[in-house]
This record gives sequence, structure tokens and C-alpha cells, in this order.
Amino acid sequence: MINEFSDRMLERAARASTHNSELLGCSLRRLSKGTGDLRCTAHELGWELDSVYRLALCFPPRQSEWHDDIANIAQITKISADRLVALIRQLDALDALTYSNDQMLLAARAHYIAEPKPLDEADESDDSDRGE
Amino acid sequence: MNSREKLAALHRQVLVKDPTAPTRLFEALRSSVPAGLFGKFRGSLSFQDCEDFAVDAFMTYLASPGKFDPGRASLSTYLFLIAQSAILRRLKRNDHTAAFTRDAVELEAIDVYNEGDGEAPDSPAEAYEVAKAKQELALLRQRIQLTPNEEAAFDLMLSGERSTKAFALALGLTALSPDEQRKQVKRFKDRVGKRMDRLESPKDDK
Repeated sequence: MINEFSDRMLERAARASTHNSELLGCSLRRLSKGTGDLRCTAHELGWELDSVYRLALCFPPRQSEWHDDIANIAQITKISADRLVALIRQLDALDALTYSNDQMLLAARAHYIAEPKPLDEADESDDSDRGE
Repeated sequence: MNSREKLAALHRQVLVKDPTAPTRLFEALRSSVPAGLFGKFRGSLSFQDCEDFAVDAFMTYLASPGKFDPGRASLSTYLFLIAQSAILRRLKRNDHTAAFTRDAVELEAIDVYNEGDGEAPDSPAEAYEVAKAKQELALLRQRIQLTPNEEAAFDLMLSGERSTKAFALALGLTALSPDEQRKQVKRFKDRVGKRMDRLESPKDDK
């Protein structure tokens, strides 16, 4: 595998991205079981660390260019488009839960974040799509 | 497309929130900025430190990409200046540099540059740093003892202005011949430089 990044630099950038609400890193942090550590997120998702780090540096896909954006993110992160779509929808749902004051939704969020099973249903045979 | 144009194109993509633009920009800048910083601060910092400062500068840029003006500098220069500013702050905190050095003046210039577009600082920490830098600049002006005309010319120096005409205008020398203007402007710059040198090494003034 050709690693285009210095892992250390990429990791530092990805870690910093979790504090920028415009980047996916901020949303990905929600999947880290409260640790704020993207390595936990990568573990939860079962994806390669570099793929998650690169994803963290991306902006979310734009509604107006959804398909192209997903394809481009998939290319740069080496994550399959299907998995990305599922993840983005999941993150959107989490955001909706996070910013709601509705008690039912807050309870759902607490339950969800306690037991994050993102993309666990993704087919096991698709390992080749995982980040390298 | 040269490197500067390529970076400017990526910057435009960041502005329109093209999802992969930050990652591609990071890739494009990841070696040049740390290398430039290491070239300048080799004696004070490790290469890893320079990488860290480069990453922090990149994230600072991403937090407010609108502050970068492609017409004034390339993006790599902009990130270099942001990182350099942070490095100087750290070195200053560590007492590795004198309170008033040419580098400190560069630092203030960067803050002046960043404030040029009228955007407010992004965080209390940044606001504090800007305020602190302003105070230091004010104190520096006081120590250099400039006349009002010289103040204006000093601002030009901080902004990187090189045109003799601009300095002549600020110093009120427009009535003089071009040759005389050049001489007077040079004399002014030399005088300010010497005063700053004295501030840099006050212990030498015995």
C-alpha cells in the first residue's frame, strides 16, 4: 500500500477535525463511545484508520451534488460508496437526535450512543471495500 | 497549472464546501509547509514539531478559509505565516527570544494582515492573542519613537510594502526629486532598523 500521508500528521489533523463542526470528523467523534478518539470510531466501524482519518477531514456531501460527492469521498478514502451513504445517514440521524430537545429523542440518543452498532449489518464479504 | 494556481483552485473548492477539498489540500501541503518551517526554525524545533505546527495552521485555515486572500499570497505562504506566528509565540513564551525582535514584528504584521478583512477573531483565545499582539506593537511603536509620518511609513514596512513612492507619500517627501526620495526612504528604513536592532539587544547598550 502506498501511504500518501505521514500517519502522524494525518492523525493529528484528523484529531483536530473533531473540533471543527463543519468537518465530518466532528460527527465521527459521536461514534467513538464518548472517548472522542477516532481510533475508537474506526474500530466501531471496522474500517482502516487512514480511511477514517481522511474521511474526518472531509466536508459532508452537499445535497445538490450528493452522488458526485459520495463518489469523490469514496475514492479519496477508499471506503465503498454504499458504506459511506449508510454512515452519512447515520451521522445525520445522530445530529438530529443531538440537537433535539424532545425527551423521547434524547432517550433514543442515549440508548443509541450507549450501543453504537454502525454498519454492523454491512455484508461480511465486502472486506475488500474496507480502507486498505 | 502551477502549484500556486493548484492551491488557489483547491481553496475555491474549500469555500464551496467540496467535501474532499480539505483532504486534497492537506495532501498538497503536507510536505512543503513543515519543510519550510524546519528550514527556518531548525535550531529551535524538531521536524515533528514543525509538522505539528503545520497541521495546526492548516486547521486554523479550515476554521475560517474566508480570511485567506489568494491575491496577497499563496496558500502555502499563508499557512507558513500562521504556523510561524504560533511558533514565535511559543518561543517567546519559552524565553527563547527577546521580547522585541524582528520576528515579533512579523508576528504583529500577521495579525494586522488577518484583521484586514474585518472579521472578528474566532475564539476568546485568538482574541486574546490578537489583543496581546496589538499591545506589543503599540509598545514597540512607543519605544521606536516615530513621528506621525514615520508611523504611517512603519505600517507600510509591516505590511511588506516595497514601493519607494508609497513610502515617500507616507513620509511627506513627494516634493523631492525621485533620487532624493529614494535616499530619504532608505535613510528612514535604516534608522528604524537600527532602533529595532537596539531593542533586540538591549544588554549591549552599556
